[in-house]
Amino acid sequence: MLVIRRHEGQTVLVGDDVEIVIIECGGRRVKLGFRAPRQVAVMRGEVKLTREQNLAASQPVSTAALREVEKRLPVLGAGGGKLPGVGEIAGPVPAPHHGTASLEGDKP
Amino acid sequence: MILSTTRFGDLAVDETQSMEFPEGLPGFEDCRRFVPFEHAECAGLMFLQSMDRPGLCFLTLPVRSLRPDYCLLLTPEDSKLLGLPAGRPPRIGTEVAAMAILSVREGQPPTANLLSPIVVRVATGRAVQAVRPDNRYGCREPLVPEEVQCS
Repeated sequence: MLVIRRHEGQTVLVGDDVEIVIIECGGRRVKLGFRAPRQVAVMRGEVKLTREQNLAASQPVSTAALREVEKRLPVLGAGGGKLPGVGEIAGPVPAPHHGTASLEGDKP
Repeated sequence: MILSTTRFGDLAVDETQSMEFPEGLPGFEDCRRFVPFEHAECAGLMFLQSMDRPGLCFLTLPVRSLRPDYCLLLTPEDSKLLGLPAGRPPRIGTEVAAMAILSVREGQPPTANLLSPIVVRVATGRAVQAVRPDNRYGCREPLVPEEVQCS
């Protein structure tokens, strides 16, 4: 990995088309500015991880695999709040949730 | 309304239950509307069916089912998107519902994405997949914490 030290206001160039500016640094955070063409994706590392994980999670799941998931479910005790107003498919149409929620309060 | 889905066929859903993601989800930016439901065959699991793509359905669990002490951490941008104050974490249960998307791969234990939970504003149905700006949780966490499994 190439490591470069910069002060506020200085820049780093990546390839011919990407410029990174150190806008502000202080404490434990740094504010970076990116100048890049629209077709170059610039994203936080954890957003890329999320994207990859979503794609994996969107794959169809067999019924057998679902059974395995059910076996490993944590005990859904007081901590497991349901979404307000959501019912089962076969049941009556649940009341709209866009109103006052009646879920248990937040844990400190 | 009747929603056509690949996995469950035609579903009768209540549109007022739907969630709206103004920016979609990472990797699915064009999928803005989802409807949550539970299935009698899979008690405890919450499915999130896309109203835009019949073949897209995520499996989720409430974050507090997975980790009872889970506290949300949102970027200022995500707080603003949900219309919540940026200075404190949103209150799970009263202000928002928070779910983790599960990944199920054949032959491997299922995992939960606790790095980027789905956060829904209860009052409005507006939602975001809120990627945490810290390192506290990963995107492939076991359903039960390791220390419990070893006992």
